[in-house]
Amino acid sequence: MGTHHDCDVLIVGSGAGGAPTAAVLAEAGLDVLVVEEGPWVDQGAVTPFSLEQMERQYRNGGLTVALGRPSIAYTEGRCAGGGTEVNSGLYRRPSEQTLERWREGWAIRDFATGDFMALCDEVESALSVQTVPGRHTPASERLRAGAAALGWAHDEIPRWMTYPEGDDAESGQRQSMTRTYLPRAIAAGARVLTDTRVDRLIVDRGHAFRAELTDAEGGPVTVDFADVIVCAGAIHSPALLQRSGLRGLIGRGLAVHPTVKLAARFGEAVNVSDDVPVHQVKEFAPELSFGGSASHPGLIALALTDAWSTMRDAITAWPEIAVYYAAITSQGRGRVQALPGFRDPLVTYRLTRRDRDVLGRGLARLTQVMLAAGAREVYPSFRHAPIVRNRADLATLSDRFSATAASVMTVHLCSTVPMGDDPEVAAADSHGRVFGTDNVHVNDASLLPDAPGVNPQASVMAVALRNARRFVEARR
Amino acid sequence: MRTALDPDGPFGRFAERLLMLELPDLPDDRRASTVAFVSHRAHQVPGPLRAGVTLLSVATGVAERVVEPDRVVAFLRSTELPLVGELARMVRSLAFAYVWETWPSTTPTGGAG
Amino acid sequence: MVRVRCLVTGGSGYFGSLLVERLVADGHEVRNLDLLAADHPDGVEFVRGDVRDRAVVHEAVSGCDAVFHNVAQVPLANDEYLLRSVNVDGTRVLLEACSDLGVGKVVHTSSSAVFGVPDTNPVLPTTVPKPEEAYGHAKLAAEWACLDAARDGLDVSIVRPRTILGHGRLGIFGILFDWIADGADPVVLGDGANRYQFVHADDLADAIVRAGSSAGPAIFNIGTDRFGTMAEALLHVCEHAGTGSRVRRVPAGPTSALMHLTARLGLTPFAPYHWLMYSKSMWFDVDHARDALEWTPRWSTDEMFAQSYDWYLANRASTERADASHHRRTTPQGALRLAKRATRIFPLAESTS
Repeated sequence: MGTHHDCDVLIVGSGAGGAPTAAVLAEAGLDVLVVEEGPWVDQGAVTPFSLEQMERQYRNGGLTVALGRPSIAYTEGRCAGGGTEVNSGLYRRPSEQTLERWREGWAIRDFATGDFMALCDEVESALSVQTVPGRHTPASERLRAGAAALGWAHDEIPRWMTYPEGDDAESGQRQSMTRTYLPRAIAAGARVLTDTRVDRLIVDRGHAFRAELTDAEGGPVTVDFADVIVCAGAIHSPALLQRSGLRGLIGRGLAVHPTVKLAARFGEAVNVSDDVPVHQVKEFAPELSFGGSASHPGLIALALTDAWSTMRDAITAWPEIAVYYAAITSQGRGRVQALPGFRDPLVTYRLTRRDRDVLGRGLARLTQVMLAAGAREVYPSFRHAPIVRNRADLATLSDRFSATAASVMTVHLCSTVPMGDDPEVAAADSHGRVFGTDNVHVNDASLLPDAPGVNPQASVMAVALRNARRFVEARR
Repeated sequence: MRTALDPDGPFGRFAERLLMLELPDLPDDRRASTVAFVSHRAHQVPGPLRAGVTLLSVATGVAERVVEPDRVVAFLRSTELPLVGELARMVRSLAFAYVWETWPSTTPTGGAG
Repeated sequence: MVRVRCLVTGGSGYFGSLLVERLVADGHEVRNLDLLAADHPDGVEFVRGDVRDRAVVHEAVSGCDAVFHNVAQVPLANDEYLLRSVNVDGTRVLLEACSDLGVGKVVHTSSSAVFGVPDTNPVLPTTVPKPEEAYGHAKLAAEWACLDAARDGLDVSIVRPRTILGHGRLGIFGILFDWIADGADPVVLGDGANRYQFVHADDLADAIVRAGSSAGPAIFNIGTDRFGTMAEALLHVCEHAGTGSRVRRVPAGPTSALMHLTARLGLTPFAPYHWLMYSKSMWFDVDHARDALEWTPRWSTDEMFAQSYDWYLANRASTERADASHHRRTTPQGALRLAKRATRIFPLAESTS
C-alpha cells in the first residue's frame, strides 16, 4: 500500500502550461493537486546554464535526443516551474499570421486574435516581461552591432526579468513560474507534490479517474480525481497519454525549431558565463532567426568539439568567445513513441531537404553577422568545419557544410497533441480535451498546432490561461 | 547493480582511452573524475538511447578483445557512421564540457594550465 | 499615403514578389495575377491565371485603381512564340481590360533590351529604341501597345530597368560568383572597359511605385548612378570575396562566337542577349527619373555585387532550390565547368581602381 491523495483536478507538470493552469483553477476555488516529477529549486540556488543545473533541473541531465539524420539534441526542464526556470526567459508573442494559420488550419474555435493578445498582455504583466533597462552583455551587443553593420533587421527580445538591484542585463532576476504563477496557485490553496512522477492514468471507456505515481524513493502513490490536465511538455504529455492507452494522433506531429551554432572570438573579453544575449536578428524571419546562447567555458569547449583538431587552440581564449545560434522554421515533423518497459519515450525527427538547406544558409548568414560584428575568428559547429576569419573562409564553409555533419539542437518542442475541432489533424479539441475522453485534458506546448517561429512559451502560457478559464466556466 | 556504462566497464574504459588520445596531458586524477562524470551522465540518458549506448559499449568491449583496443578507439573516434559515431561524440561532448567548466584554464591538450 | 487597390501581374516571380511586398509595406491592398501562387504576406489576394486569358484578366483587374504589369517571358526561355505571345499579346489583353474597367494608372515594366546595343551612351529618355534580338523586339512591341493605349486615354507609364541585381538575383553572375568563391578567375570579354550599369531590385521597386503615383503617360529609364566598367565591377567583387581570384581578359570575338555556338548546342546557358551585352557599354541617364519622380538610387554597382555575392555564399551551403524562378536560380553551368579551370591562361585585366 502506498500513499493516496484525492483531489478535484490533478495537474501533471508545473511549467509554462501547468503553473498558469494551477493558478487559474485554484483561484477559482477548485481543489487542485499539482504533481511535478522534478524538485523545487529556488531561483538563484543553482548557477544558470551550469552542469549542476543540468543535473538537477533538466530531464535526463540535458542529454535527450530526437533520432534522425541528423539527430537533434534537445533539452527540457524537469523541476518545479519547468523550462521557465532554466531557459533564457525570452518572451515573444506569436504573430497574427501564426494565430490565423492555427485557427484556420486546425479549426480552433474561440481563438480570436484580439482575445489572444489580451491574454498575452496579462502574462506580460504577471511575469514583469520587459527589455533590459540598462547595459546589455557584450555578446548581445556584438550581435546587435553585426546586424546593424549589415543593415539587417534586428531587435531585443523582452524577458521575464526584473531588475531590482541595478539595470544591467546581468542583474536581472528571472520571474519564472516558481516566482509567479506557482506561488499564486499555492496561496489559493493548490497543493504541489514535487519529486513525484505520474506513470500512467487509469482510463475506462474514455473516462480517467485515477493516476498511478512513483515518489522519489520509488514508492507507489495513487491519486483519484474528477479531471486531469496533463502539462508535462511536448515529449512527456503524449508519452503519458500513450502509456495510459490513448493513441490516435497523439505524439505524431512533433514540431521543433532546429538550430545550428557557432562560437565567435572577438578581440576582447565578451564572455559572460551565466547570462545569454537578448538581441535577435530577424532579417530572414520567420524562416531564420539568429541569437546568442549560454557561453560558459564548458559550453565553448562543446561548441568546438565537432572540429576539435582544427579549433582546439581557441579554447584558451574562451573569455573572448561567445556562442550564437541560427534557428529555422522546419517543414519536418517528428514523433514521440512510448515503448513498453522503458521510462522514457523514443523520440524521432525527420528534417526535410529544405530544412537542411536552410540550416546551411542560416549558419553562413550568421557567420556573416559575426564577421560584420568584428569577430576575429568564427568556429562553426560541424565536422570538418574551417575556422572562418574572412569572406574567403566563408566560401570554404559554404562549400563544406552538411547538416548531417552538424550539431543540430533545439529547445523548442511542441505540437504533439495539437488542438482544434478538425479531428483529421488535431488530437484534442479546441480547448485541449483529448479526443476519445471526457475528462483528460492537455494544456501545454503539445497543443500548439505547429512551431510558432518565435520562442514559444508566450504562446504556451496564453493558451494555458485561455483553456484554464474555459475549464472553470464549464465547471460552473 | 553493475552495468556496461560504469567507469570500470567497457563504456568507461572506452571513455578513458578516448580521453588519453584527445586530451593527452589531462592529469590522471582529472581524467578519472571526468570518466566518472561521463559514466554518471550516461546512466541518465533516456532509456531507449541508453539501451543503444549499452549495446555499443558491450560491442566495443568485445572488439577490444579481438582487435587491439587502440585501433577500436581510433575507429570509433573518426567514424562518421550514423549512431555508431554518436558514441565518441557523446563522450567527447560530455567530457569537454565537464573539463572546461570544472577547470577553465585547461590547455588544448588537457594540461592543467 | 492613400490606400490604393493594386494589381501586380507576375507577382509570384522574382521581381513581382518584391514589388508586392513593397506595396503591402506601403499600406496598399494588393492582388497578384500569376500562374503560380507564392508565399506572400497575409491579405494579398491571389488570382491564378494566364495574362493572355481575357476572362481571368478582366476578373483580376476589376476593382483595381492601379495595375503594375510585370509578367514577362524571360529571354532564357529561348522560345520565340512564347516571347511574343506572353510579352506582346498578354500586354494588349491587360491594357484592354484596364481601359474597359477605367483603371486610373498602369505601370508597365519593360526592359533595356529594347535598346539592343546602343550607338551612343548615355541612353536618354529620347533615345529611339533599336532592339537586336527576339526578347528586345517583343518588349518593344509591348511598349508600342502601351503607347497605343495611352493615345486612347489610358494613363500608362513605362519603366525600363537596367540589369537587375539584389535579393538573390544573380543571373549569369551566379556562374562568376561560383568561380570566385572557389578561387578561380572570372573573365571579361576584351579589355572589360565597357561601362555597364545595373539596378538594385529595391531601387527599381521604388521607382515603379513612384511612377505609379505620378501622372503619365511617361517613360522612365532606371539604373544606378554609381557604376563603372565591367572589369571594375568584377575586380571589386573579387576584392570583396578575398579568395585570390583575379579578373582575366579573353578575346571578345572568338569568345562571343563560342558562347553563341555552345548555347545553340545546349552546352552552355547563354541566351543571345547575354553574350550580346556582356562586353558592350550601356547606361541610362537617370536625371529624368530623378527629377520627375524624386527618386534616388540607393545602391551602387559595387554594393549590389557585394550583397549578391554574400547571398550567393550563404546559399552555396544549401543545394539549389528547384522551385525558384529562372533568374533567381544560379544558371546551370554545363560546359563552363571546364572553362572555370582554364581561364588562368589568359592575361589579367588591368586594375583600374
